[in-house]
Formats: sequence, structure tokens, C-alpha cells
Amino acid sequence: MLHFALRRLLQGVIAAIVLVSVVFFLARLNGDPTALLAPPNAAPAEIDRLRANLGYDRPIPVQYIAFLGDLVRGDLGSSTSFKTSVIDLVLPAMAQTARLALIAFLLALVAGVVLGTLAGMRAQSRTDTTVRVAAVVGQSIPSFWLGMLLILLFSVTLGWLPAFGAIGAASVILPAIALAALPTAAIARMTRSTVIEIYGKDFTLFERSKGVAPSVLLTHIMRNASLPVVTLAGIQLGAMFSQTIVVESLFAWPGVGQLAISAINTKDFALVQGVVIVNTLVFVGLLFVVDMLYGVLDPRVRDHEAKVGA
Amino acid sequence: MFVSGGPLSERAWRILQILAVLSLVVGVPACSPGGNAPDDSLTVGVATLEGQWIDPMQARNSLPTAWIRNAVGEGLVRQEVDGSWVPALATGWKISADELTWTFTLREGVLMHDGSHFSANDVKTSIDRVVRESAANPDNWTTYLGGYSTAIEKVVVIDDLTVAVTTNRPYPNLAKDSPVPIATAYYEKVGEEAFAKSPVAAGAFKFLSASANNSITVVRFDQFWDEKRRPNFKTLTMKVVPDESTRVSGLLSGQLDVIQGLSPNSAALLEGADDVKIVPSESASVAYVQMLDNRTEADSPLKNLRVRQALLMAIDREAMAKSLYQGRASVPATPFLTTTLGYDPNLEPYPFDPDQAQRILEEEGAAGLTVELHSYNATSGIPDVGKFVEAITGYWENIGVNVKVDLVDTATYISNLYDANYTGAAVLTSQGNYVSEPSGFIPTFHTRDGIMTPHSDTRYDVLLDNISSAMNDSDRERYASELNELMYDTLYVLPILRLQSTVATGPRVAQFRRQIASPIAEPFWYLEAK
Repeated sequence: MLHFALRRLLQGVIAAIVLVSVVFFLARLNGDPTALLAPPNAAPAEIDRLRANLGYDRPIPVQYIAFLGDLVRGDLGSSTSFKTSVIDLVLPAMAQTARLALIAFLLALVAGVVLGTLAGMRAQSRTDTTVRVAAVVGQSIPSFWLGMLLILLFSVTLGWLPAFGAIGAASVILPAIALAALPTAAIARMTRSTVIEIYGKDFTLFERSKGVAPSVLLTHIMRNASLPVVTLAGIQLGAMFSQTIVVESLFAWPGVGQLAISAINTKDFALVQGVVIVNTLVFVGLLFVVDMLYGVLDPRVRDHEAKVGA
Repeated sequence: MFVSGGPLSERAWRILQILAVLSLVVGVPACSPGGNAPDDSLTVGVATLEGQWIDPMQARNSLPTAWIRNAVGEGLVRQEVDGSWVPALATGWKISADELTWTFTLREGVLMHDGSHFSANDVKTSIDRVVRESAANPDNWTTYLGGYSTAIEKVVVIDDLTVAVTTNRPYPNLAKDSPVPIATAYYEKVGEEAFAKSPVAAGAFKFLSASANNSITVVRFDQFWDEKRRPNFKTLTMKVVPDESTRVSGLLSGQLDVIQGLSPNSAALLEGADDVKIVPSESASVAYVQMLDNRTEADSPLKNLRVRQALLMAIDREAMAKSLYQGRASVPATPFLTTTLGYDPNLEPYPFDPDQAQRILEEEGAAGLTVELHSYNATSGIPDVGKFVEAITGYWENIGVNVKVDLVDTATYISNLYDANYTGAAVLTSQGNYVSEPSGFIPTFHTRDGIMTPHSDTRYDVLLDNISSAMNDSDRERYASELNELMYDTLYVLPILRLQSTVATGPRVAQFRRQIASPIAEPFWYLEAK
């Protein structure tokens, strides 16, 4: 298990370095941000001096080697647009994104599993039809549009909830719903399909014929149904971290999504790179947790990994 | 298929159904909307605080935080809402015969935020700081790269309320361009880095806190020297709300008291809403199209003045102002704003005459010419710039011009302009705070010192150099008028529209008098809470 964990971590770090390297070169294809940082009335010589001061006059391969050297030391550089270290910007923003994503994820997981189980246990009933239609709607509505509707209804019309910001417990509700709609629908559909499949298996029929208590039956069904749901949920959580970019922009949520938009608009290379690195490491970490959880839920996975010497 | 019929099963279904309902009910009617500020504070919603400068000396680097200069700082002179310049921390000055030394008389009895008394030493500290730090860290002091930092020769404190500033060339705008004085004792105690994060000056507000890419909060300075400009509320917060529709919702729900960056369409929607006032600032920016080929050796029909005139006459600018910008724009004769020195209200804009435009193109052998039209895809100076470009394209195509549109992100666009990578035409905007002074046209018209000059006509250099060095106001105005006429006669840029900037206020705001030609919501001296 330790070998497995270490191997996955190493893969994650390599993935992050490869990705940020691609971003490093792509970002520099269209020039550097000196023109944006200089005032309109700066003389050409002053702009050249500014470019040299920022290090953008060096050949790109030289800049890249310097960047790798800093990366090894854990230095993600300084933001040219915020004049502060990238780590000091990205980590608090990531905390806010994580807060929003995790709450939305929990909401999606609970709602999706409950609705999916209801629909699966009552397949072809009105309950099932309602849940399936709601799932299609949930997967079709863009989060941005849903967010705007939620703001108009709950903030402007009813005055119940704040329209934006991250202060106070109530502020997370609307962005979490907007972010959770799509994953809720996906998890509900996966849960429904899996529950229907498990419910039809021989061991379930056997337990029912033996008069096993419904709570125990439900536990056994859910345990088996959880494997694909956990996999999907893990992927959805990882995707949520990147999908927050739209929701954060709409709700003025001070997370990495909003930071990334600002960084791209201002050609803040160091900040873009920092966001990519941290996002990648978080995504890889989440997939790692999902893999570990899989092993906990299904002993067959643990045994297989042990046999192949993972 | 799997519906259960037994009583225990029914209980299980009921539990599941209750859980499902609970998981879907997320409205919390008992919760307040949250985030509504206390009564003695106002919140301003802005699209960005890019740059996040909180030091009033550095804040001019970035338009989104330029308001800090007049909120936390107080200059030697200041600009009133009608655009006129009046004394502030300097009550007057004398200029030496060689026009190089300004001796400022300073205002007595002014307190800095730390309680220290304002003196000549504070002026020297701030100017020396600009000169020193601009050389050492130019990326933190970009505002002063436009010539101020290299123009200062020395600063001498004569007595507590008198300071002499000597320049190495005549500098007519020295009083306006000088940085706001800062508290010397505090600066020397905490050092450069700490001061930049928690500045102390003499403005109407004291800095309180900042959260990166999120908000900046300042509080009223109760000992501010000018009672008429002391705010009647305690706390002012600038909150980043990137999406315009959310800013509008925030205003309507009461979370925001003022919103900035309102497009004409949103302003039209808010007109007449209960307790909402629209507060425009006229002539806040000018949108124009640069004709780029005049700086190159290559042959191009755009080098022909008559062709440029035809392209301008093909555009129905009145219609664009009325329909695209809901009447919140006007048609300029040149890129001069109404507040720019040398502006001539009697200069008639070129008329809209597409038939004449087409005839001119035929006469000049340019019928069916192809023009590359480059633009950024978003800019605060031109709302809905995509539609602006579409409109121009449509008008040009109506007279038989083939238009190839190239729309890119702002960062790439500006870089390409600086590197002179484009030919044809390029959309640009100049905002009020840069071109209220005619020397603000140096970057786009000076052949030697300009960074985006689309021509090689040295007549502009002569006039701009004279404007930058003439110490006599009537001489400067004369040169500025000649510059205005030269722009009209040469049409190296096609002036399309002069645009308002629009701000909206909510029910907790009694009044907000904005400065003319200001693209942002400031200064806040005349923002009054109810």
C-alpha cells in the first residue's frame, strides 16, 4: 500500500511539472506583460528598463531554467499584478475554493445519492421519472445561468441570501447550489443505474427471500453500489475545482478561479503558473484519495494491489 | 418494478423521501442576506482592484486603485469635480526666473494620519522616495516612468512650511504630478516595505485593511484638515464583484451602495428603479481608430488623407451614440475630451455622409479597399467593444470596404501595438485621467517618445514638446489648440465617440458628486451617506 501511495504521489508531482511547463511556454507565445504594466506615457527606453528589471528580456529557455530552479526551492515567484508572493495569494484563495467546492460536493453527494437511491428502488414509478427529468435538467442548465436565477430570486426578490461574497455562513449557499447542480444530476443518475443493477442480483433476491431487515439490505446494496458512485464523485470533485472559475466570477467568491481570470487578463505569468501547479496537485491528491477509498470499500481491490506488489 | 409493499419498507421509503426533501431545501429564510454593511459604512462594487495598490503614492500605477491617491492621500493641489485645479496641501508657489525651481508655501495646521504635523519634510520625503525607488524598483513605480522621476534635480526644505523643488527642465505640471506627501517619521520608522502595506498620509480616509483580489477598506480620518470634504460616514469598502449583473443585483438587494463599471444597457435598466440614481461623468473616455500605416514606408491607401476622411464619414456616429450607448456618448471632432486644455467646442465633427465617402474612395482609386481592423475584446474605456467593432465594420462594408476583423485579448493586443505588429487600423481608447492634459497624447502622437504613434509627422513632436515645457498657461493653451486642429486636419486617428462613465447609487447614498472626465467612481469626498 505504501508503495502504491508513493507511486501515485510521484506521478502527481510529475504531472504538475509537465503541465506547468506547458503553461509556461504557451503563456509566453504572445509576449510579456511589460506593456500592460507601464503607463501609457512611458518612454520606450523606460519600458525596456522595466522589461529587464522583470527578467522578461532574457531568452525564454533561460527564463524556464530560472523558473525550475525557483520551483525546486518551493518559490513560485512574485505576482506582477498584485506585487506579493504567489504562494501568499494562491493558498488563501485555494482555501476559499476548497471551502466552496467541498460544500457543493457534499450537497451534490447527499442529494445525488438519496435521489438516485429513491429512483433506483422505485424504478419506473413517478418518483423515478421525476428524478430522471430533474437530472436531465440539472445537467443541461449552465451553472452561470442557474446562478443568475438564484441571485435574482433569493437575493433581489426575496432578500433572503447575499448575492455575492464569502462572508458569513449564508454566503456559500447560492454558489454551492449553482456549482452542485451538475454533479448532483450525474451522481443521481449513476446511483440510480447502479442500485437497479445491484437490486436485481441474486444475493439481493436471496436476502429479501430470507427476510433480511430493510436497513441491512439497504446497507448491502449501497455498499456495492458505492464503488462506481465513489469513482464518479471523486472525478466530479476534481472537476468542481476547475468549474468554480465560472461560479466564483459570478458570486465574487475570492477563490483561485477569480484569481486565475485576473492573472490571465493581466498576463501575470507567475500567478498563472502558481494557480496551475496548485490546482493540479489538488486534483491529483483528490484522485489519490479516491483510489485509497476504493481500496477501503472493496477488499478485492486491496487484495489485487497486494498481489501485484503495488 | 421494485416497489415494496410491506409496512417496514414504507417507513424506509418515507425516511428516504424526507432526506431527499431536506437535501433539496437549502433556502434559509431565517438568515439575513448577510454582508449588508452597518449604517455608517458604504460599499462600492467594482469589477477589479487589479494592482491592489494601497499606498497613495503608488496607487496611480493602476486605474482600478487610482482612487486611493485622493482617498488616503492629499496632494499639493487637487482637482475639483468641475475639473479645475485648486490648492490643497500647498497654498501657493513661486517659480524662479529660469523656470526650474518651484518654491511651495505649505498649508499650516494639517495633521497626518499618525497625528504628526504635516511639514515641508514630508514633501521632501515623498519626492525623494519616488526618485530613489523609481530607479531601484521601476516595476513598483511605473506611474512615474512618464518623466517625473527623471525630471527632479533636488528638493530643499527651507522651513517647516516652505519647500523648494528644482527640476532639470521646465515642468509645467510639477504641482499636479508630484506625489502626495507622506508621514516622514512613520515612514522612517517602519521602512519602505511596511509602509507600502500600511501607508500613512494626510487624506480624508485612513487605510484600514486589504484582501488581495477581494476588497480594500478605508476609514474616515476625523482630523482631516478640510471640514467641507470630511465624509459623513465612517467606513468605505471597495469590493471586487467581477460580474456586472451581480453588481447590479448587489445594488438592488442592498449589499452594495455604489456600483462602478455600468454599461449603458445596465444603466438603462436601472433608470427609474426605486431608490437608485444614475450618476454619469461626461467625457470620461474617447474611443477612436488609429490608422497605422502612416508610420511605415509601405504603400497603403490609408496614407491618403481623403481616404481616411471617407472612412470617418462612412460611420454614423450619432446613431452609434444613441443606439449602442443609449445616448451616453457624443460625437467628437478630435480625440480631445471636453476637459482637455485646447478643446474647441466650435470645431464641427466630420459629417456622416456614406455617399460622399463612397465617391471619395472611387476618386482616389480606393474603391473596394481591404482594411485590417484590430481590437481588444474587452476594455473599460469602451463598453461592449465587440459591438463597437461590429458597427464600424458594418458601416465600412456599406461603402464597399472589405474589413478583416482581428479581436484578441487585451494583454496580447497592447503588446502587439507596442511592438508595432499591426497594419491597417486599430481600435483604442484614451481615458479622462490620462488625456485631460494634452501632454497625455504623447504616447499616441509623438513620433520620438510615443509608444503607439501611428504616423511619422514631426509637427506633432514640436507641439507636444512645447506643451510639455511651456510654463505660461496661455502659451500652453495656444499650443494645445494647434494640436487639436492638427489632429482634425490630419486624421491619423479617426475619433469615433466620446463616452460617459456611469455609476449607480443605492438607497443609503444621499448624493455622489463625481468628477468630470473621470472613468472611475472617485473622488469620494463628495459621496454622502443618508
